[in-house]
Amino acid sequence: MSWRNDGTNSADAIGLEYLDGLYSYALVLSRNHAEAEDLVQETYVRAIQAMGRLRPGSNMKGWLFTILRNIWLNQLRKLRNGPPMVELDIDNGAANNVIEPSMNSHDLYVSKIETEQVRAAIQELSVEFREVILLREYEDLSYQEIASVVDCPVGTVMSRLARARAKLRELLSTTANGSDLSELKGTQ
Amino acid sequence: MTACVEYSAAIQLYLDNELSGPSLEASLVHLRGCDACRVQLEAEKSLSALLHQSQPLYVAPDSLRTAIAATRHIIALAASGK
Repeated sequence: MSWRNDGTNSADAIGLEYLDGLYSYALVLSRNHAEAEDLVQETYVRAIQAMGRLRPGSNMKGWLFTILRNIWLNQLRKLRNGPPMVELDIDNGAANNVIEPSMNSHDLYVSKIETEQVRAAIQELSVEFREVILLREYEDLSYQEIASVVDCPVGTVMSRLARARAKLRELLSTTANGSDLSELKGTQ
Repeated sequence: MTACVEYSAAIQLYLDNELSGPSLEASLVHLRGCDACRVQLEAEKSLSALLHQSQPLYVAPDSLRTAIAATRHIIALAASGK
């Protein structure tokens, strides 16, 4: 796969191609933009410093996501002894919409609404469900790779994914207003 | 319908490209003959298609992109002793 480490142990070897994925994962975990940015930045710093210990042929993408998750877990542990966490500042999605150049204004509007509904539905899931959806549907990791990142058996990944999708379908069907989302009701 | 309980899980595996060999063959044969499983497959496909339309889920802000590029540069310089 293209995200395998080719043995180049330099800062440049960790490209910015993982940035959006890592940022999305950080937001899915923390549900806070500032925290997500800090998580991603810390991930790159640690990854660059540890690059020399990464064996050629290693799965760099999975490795980066694992680092990010470990940093988040460590921060959670520290915060448990500190003041309560502030989260859910995730509503300013306007700056985050990806515009497809070939779309007309109506398509853009529908796409924007759907993207916002998808984001809102995902953020309503529990963190265990949010992360497997992100890693499978958006980052295209295999069950084995997801199991490695979230540190659980493959069977647990499968069952979480099934329950997460069922819940997501339910949430998105509830918010559907005659849009394409209504097609999701097939198995309700 | 008893068989569909088994194949309900297989539909997810099939969509996620986690099936191969005899398991894949058996699922494809079952899908051809089971209306309930085909309905479930279409619903799962619709959900996946919808999620893929909103890819990437979030885009990293430019400020973060710039900060990380600068961090990489600084660490590379430090490593080269300049």
